[in-house]
Amino acid sequence: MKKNDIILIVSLLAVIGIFVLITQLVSKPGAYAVIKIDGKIVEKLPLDQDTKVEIHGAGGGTNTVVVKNGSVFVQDADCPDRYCVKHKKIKADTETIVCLPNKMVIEIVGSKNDKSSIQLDEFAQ
Amino acid sequence: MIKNNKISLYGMLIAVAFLLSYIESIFPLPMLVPGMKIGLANIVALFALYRMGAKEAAILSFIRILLVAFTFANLYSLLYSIAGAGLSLLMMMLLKRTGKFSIIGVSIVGAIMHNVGQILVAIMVIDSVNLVYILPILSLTGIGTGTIIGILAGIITKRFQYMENHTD
Repeated sequence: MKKNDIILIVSLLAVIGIFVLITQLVSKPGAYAVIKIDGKIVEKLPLDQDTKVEIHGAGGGTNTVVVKNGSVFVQDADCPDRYCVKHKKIKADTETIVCLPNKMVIEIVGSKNDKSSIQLDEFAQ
Repeated sequence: MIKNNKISLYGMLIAVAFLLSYIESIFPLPMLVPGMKIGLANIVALFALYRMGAKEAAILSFIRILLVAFTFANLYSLLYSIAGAGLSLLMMMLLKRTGKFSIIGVSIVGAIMHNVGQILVAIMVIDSVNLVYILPILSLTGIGTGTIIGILAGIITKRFQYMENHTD
């Protein structure tokens, strides 16, 4: 290992650290879970209501999305890798659950304190 | 290197890379984030980059990805694999060319760029910019796995050089 390798590792760690710090600073608990298939919004679930929905993804796969105690997670899926099911529950607006085979994304939007800030026109598209 | 030797070396390296990909697929790491991998096949890519050349490394990686996608991986992952391996190889090649880093530094950058390439494609395919937020954790594990792979590739590359020098 050369001296430059060490410098490289240290600078990479510094960049990662700064990125994580910024993420922590901007991240806040959201109000809605937005579910997108292939970039289009198909479902918008309020995080304060416990629900369970079946999402039919691109390519015919399904994901069972559950909202419980203010967090959202994928309970079951028939995609081959099931990374989405293994993913931890999310509730902050910087978190995402992705199911690449079904092209499904769950994002968190809106803030808990200010629910009127949700862009409803975005949902209407 | 004479032509026949080159052909057999290609075949052998593809077989090794294919096997390493298979081993990795049956022993998955505990999943902290999707996309986390040890990157065993990168040993072959690094070896090819250092002992053969950038073009040879690219050909080997491409054939391995195709074989893996058609046998035990999923076809949908092909695009992600190509984007990841492509960006990774490109950056490793550039970094190696500067001559300022050892194979370990090159390997680390390769590991991180592999994830960056895949995330970029995912952001475009599924239209979710939020995916960038998983890059820090992937990069952190990339530094660890990249170091291990770089050390291994360094040992193998050195041994191979020794063998070449003593069999001529």
